[in-house]
Amino acid sequence: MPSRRRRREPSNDETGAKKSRSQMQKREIATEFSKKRCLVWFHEYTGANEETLGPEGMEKFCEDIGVEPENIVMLALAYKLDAKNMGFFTKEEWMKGMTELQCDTIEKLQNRLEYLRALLNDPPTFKNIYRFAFDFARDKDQRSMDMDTAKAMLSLVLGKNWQLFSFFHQFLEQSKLKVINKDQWCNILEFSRAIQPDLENYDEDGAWPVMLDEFVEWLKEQRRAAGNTEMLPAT
Amino acid sequence: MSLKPRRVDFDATWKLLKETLEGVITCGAVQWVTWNDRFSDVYKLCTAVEPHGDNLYQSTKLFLEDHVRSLHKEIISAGDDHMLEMYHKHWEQYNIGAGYLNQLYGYLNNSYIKKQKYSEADVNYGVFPVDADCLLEIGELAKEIWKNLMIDSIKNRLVILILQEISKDRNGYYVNQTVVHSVVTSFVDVSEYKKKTPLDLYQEIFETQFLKETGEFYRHEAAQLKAECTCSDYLEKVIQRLDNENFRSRKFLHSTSYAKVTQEVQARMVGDVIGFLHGECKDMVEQEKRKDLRNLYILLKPIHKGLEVLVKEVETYIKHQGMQSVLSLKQDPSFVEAMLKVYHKFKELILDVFVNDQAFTSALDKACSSVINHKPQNSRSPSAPNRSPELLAKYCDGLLKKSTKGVSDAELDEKLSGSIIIFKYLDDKDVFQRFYSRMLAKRLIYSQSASMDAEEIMITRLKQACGYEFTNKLHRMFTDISVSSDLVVNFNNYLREKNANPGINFNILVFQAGAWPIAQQNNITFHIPQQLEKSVRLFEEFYKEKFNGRKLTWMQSLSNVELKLGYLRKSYSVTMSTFQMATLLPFEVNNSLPFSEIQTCTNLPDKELCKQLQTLVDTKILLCDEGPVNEKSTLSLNMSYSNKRTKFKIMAAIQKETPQEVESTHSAVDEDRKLYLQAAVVRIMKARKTIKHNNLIHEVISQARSRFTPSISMIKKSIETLIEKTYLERVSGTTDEYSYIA
Repeated sequence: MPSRRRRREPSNDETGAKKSRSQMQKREIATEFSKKRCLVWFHEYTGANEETLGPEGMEKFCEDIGVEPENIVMLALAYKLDAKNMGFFTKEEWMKGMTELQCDTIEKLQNRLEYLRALLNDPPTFKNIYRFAFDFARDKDQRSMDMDTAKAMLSLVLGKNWQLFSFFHQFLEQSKLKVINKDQWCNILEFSRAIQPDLENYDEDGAWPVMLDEFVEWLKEQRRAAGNTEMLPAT
Repeated sequence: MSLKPRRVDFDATWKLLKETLEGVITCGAVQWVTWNDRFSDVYKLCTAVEPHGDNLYQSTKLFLEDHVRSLHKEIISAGDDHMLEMYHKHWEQYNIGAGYLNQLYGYLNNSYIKKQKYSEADVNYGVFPVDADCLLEIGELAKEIWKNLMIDSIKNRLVILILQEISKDRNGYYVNQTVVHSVVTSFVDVSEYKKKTPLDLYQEIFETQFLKETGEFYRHEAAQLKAECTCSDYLEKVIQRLDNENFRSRKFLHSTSYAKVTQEVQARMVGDVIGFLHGECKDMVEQEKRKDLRNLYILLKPIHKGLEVLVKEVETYIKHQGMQSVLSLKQDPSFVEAMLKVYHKFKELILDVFVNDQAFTSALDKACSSVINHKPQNSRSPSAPNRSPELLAKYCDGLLKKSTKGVSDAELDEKLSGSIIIFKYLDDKDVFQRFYSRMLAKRLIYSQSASMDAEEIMITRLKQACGYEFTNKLHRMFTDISVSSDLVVNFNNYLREKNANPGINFNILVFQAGAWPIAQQNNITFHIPQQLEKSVRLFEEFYKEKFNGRKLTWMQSLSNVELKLGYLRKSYSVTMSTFQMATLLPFEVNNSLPFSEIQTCTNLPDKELCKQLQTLVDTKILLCDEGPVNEKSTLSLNMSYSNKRTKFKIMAAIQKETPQEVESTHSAVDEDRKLYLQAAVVRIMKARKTIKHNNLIHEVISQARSRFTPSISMIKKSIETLIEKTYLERVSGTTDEYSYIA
């Protein structure tokens, strides 16, 4: 996940330690969902009267459930909690989302992680998560997302499933674009789904944002320069 | 005689009638009285108590059949050599005779036959088969019999003979034209009465075969000519052949065949060898062989898609010529005249050679437009803008400015029309507009226009070419100028009323901020010299009183003054910019001043002051202590200044076109375009609510075309901007549709 969380990546040792603790909890008997317990759980990561779970709490939370902060499943969780700001959960978001997930303990949530991962594999839901990611990650003062965040988020959500992603990343590196707007963001996903890696079915008269036209042009140019084959992704 | 029905002896009457018939059908002499008697005999027979109509009809038919049979024998016996003549002779006689016969049988036709005949409506719309079973009027009957007993039996021989005759004619031998024509048209005449298909017989037995023969003949002819002539001669010959054949058609054939014959000859001599002709196009065009081209045009025009290659060649050639003559002048306004020369030359050529054919005029348009809008593919600056709009504006500026060159009104008018021709070809009309309006502003402000009439004519023409919106601002500039002169009169009256005297003559132009291409942000302010202050104050008071609420901004950098220099041996009257005057005025009390002091007096920015002083030093009114003027210079009046003229002008540096100005004009145009495109998209979306991407692009292009040709990516960027500003959104679930967000 993008920078804000990446800053304090827990060392492997720590994660290991936490894992053993979570395994201990796993042994607890499954109980009915309790709002009270859920709230208590929330406050484990905040000060007593704080309404928001912040970066430090988030780090601990991730350790507890045994997931790295930059794991994409955290995005799915944030989506489920309908979190507004990356790196933060408000009490309200937490209570509403966890109630929906019926999780009031670390163990229960861990059991739900598979479900959250499954969400990512369902194309319509993934599309929603993808779109959610834009508003979730962008600086709330601006309408668009700054390029660094965009690159990090894109590699999180598309890095594994889009063959052309590494080229697109290179393209963004060399381009003068400073921000990505929501329309461009949404169309990147459509493009990654619709356009073949060889770009054969790309229609330059289509309605793609100019940024993607430029990407195609850039990529074709690169491929020409590289002798046509080298820049083709392995299929 | 009584018209009452009587008993009539048919045989006796028929005998009499038959004698007369023989006379009539052979066009012999028949007495008037006899004619009348027989006419009434027919009447009597038809109206007899026991009517003999049927009998009469059958007997007449038999009579005619016998007659034709005997003629047939005679014709057959004439042998091939005289067959046509004989046929002609008998047919002509028979045809005329049949006509009379028809009249003689007038009553029978009208009373007896008409009743049984189908009406015209029946023939046209009826379901009855039109066959020979029904009764025919006697004239028609005669023709039908001729067809059945004469033509049907000898038609093959006749046609062979006719074709031989025509072939003889083609080879230049004498042919009796009347005979052939008569025989040929007899095929039409005998079926003339058949309303629906009078030409069937003619076409079936003769025309088809004739056309085939003609085709053969000219295929052969074409091959032969092609082998022995140059293309140019070939064209000549073909046209000649076509003319001859056309004339021949008129000599021998029925009028419905003329076009078919021409077509056939064209197909064989032009259509079949079109590759050969097209192959020659390029050379002919490049060598401007007008005669050949004209011939080629005449021949290719009727052929389907025959002209395409020629049109393309002409376009390529014009483009090439245009490029050649313009390329070296790409940086100079004189390119306009060079281009016009090319344009007029080919316009004339197209009119002369191709009778102004639409296909060629549009080829000319395309060629001119591509030359004028050609962007040099320069590796150093790949996206350098096309300079034509700017150069054209400069060209117009040169025409409309006061100049020493004497140009007559007619000449000026012609040149201005010429520039409109070029203007129409411009893709980037909006760039032209920017440059033009800036130059117009300068002409108006510094009263440099040679003639206000010419200025107005030009604007009117631009309006005609591009619409009101395009020239709106130019018009407003004009209005401002004339309003300003009224304003000055009013101001002077105001001064008189107030008894105020500003001490100097004062002329002012008041412009609407939006209409003039003057950048306000670059307006340089300075200390208004005390001599001017009163005028400025009075005018501000006056203006405030008159138009309360309007804000006046003084554009001193654009103003001029006339300054009298009284300290020299002669007195000089110098026109200069207000800034120049401001820098000179401190010298009223001091002959020599350091830069810093002048700056304190004028409060002009360093750079501007340097520029102004430098111009004064350059004209030698001031002397600078050393080198070019800088912040440390000391300047002094040149007391020994002299000039042959006592009245002259120092033009300030600002009047020169600077590269920055050109640059800024282009970027201003770019900004305008973005807004224009966004506005166009919003307009379209407002009307359409949802629209497919491609349709939207097309509509935007067609709206913008009269001003400029937008690039697709520019339109797309506008669309994206509007999506970001939430004027539009993509329709969810589609990839290429937008909808308007109200």
